[in-house]
Amino acid sequence: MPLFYFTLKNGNNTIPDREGEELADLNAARAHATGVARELMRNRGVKARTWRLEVCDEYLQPSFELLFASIDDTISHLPPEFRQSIEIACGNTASLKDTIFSIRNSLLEVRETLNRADEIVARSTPLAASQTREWDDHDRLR
Amino acid sequence: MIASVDTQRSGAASTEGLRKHNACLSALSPATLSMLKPHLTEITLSEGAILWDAKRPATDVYFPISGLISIVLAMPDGECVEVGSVAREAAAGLAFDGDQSELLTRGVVQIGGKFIRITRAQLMSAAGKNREIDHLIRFCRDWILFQAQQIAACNAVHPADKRFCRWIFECGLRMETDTLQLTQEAIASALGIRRTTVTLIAQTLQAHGSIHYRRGRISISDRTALRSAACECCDVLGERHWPSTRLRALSVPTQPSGDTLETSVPVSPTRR
Repeated sequence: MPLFYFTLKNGNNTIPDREGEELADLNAARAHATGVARELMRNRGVKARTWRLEVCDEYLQPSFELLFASIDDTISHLPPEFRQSIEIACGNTASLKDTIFSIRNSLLEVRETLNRADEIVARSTPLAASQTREWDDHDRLR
Repeated sequence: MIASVDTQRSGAASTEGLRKHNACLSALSPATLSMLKPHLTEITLSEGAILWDAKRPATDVYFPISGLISIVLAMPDGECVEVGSVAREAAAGLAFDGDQSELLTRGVVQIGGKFIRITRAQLMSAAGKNREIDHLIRFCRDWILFQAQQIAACNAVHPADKRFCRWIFECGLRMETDTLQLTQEAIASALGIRRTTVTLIAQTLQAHGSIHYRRGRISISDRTALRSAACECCDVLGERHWPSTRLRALSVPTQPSGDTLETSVPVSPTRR
């Protein structure tokens, strides 16, 4: 039986399941993901609607993503069009959160690279002292 | 409270090493314990051992020293859900009187370790002659009933992550340890949720630094954080309802009988 991995994306964190689960096929994986999402969402209120479960195959390639809002029973009494707009809004919020998350990560990486560059410059040139001062000014501007 | 524990324990030293391990037994007076002593056997049980089930009703009573016994309800489709658990604060194998004995539940060793065993018949006959043992049995039954009603409400209204925190916190507190030998499968089965769900919750808590998980072992790194991430059932299931605590309160001679009576009535979960 193929192995599937389930990753929880809750906006602030990406939580991997490193053990994975052996399941018959993609349909079984979808059913499992739905069950897990329901368990995580139950009694949790609106907040969890923007959460998602990403299902990856055994080569860690994403197969599909399950938006919690799409299986939320607490909104099943609503007319289909309302339900759909909630799902769309939650989907948009989720991708906005993802974007913010990835921008934050890139910024952290850029900052780290700049710091490392500063260190290398400071160590490698005889003019280090004066240069470092300039870089410090540069840092303050950032 | 702590002082009274110490007095009990130092008193115990003269009798036998046995009594200082299970908090319930160590709360008994030396006279009562020496009456039980000939019938007590120390045994080691490993994880997964079934102590009783529908086909084999409990004939023995177990006082955990270092392990944890889970009382589960087995559904016809094979799924088992925990309705209570017993560590060193109580004894397992006592619920229900006579013929009805545990027909519905199953007692499983959730965390292996040392236990003290006595046959049910011997404990019951001792209870007929000794008021303290009679209380011990009643308190241990209350404790199971109390947990069962709290867990029923908790399962219905609290989210899985808070229940997970409650469960781990309770285990650590009652077993007096921060390291629990537990697989995620075992926790998943106790809480009636999928293993994947447990892993995702455990990973989130690990990212926050409240627990640390390694294969088959959970360490509590921040008890306070874990406690605040748990549902309020932790308060209700507090130490004051443990059979060991109630037995100790009973043995303090200065305590007026009214107080003793009050502590023997579990607080309703809706009235915190």
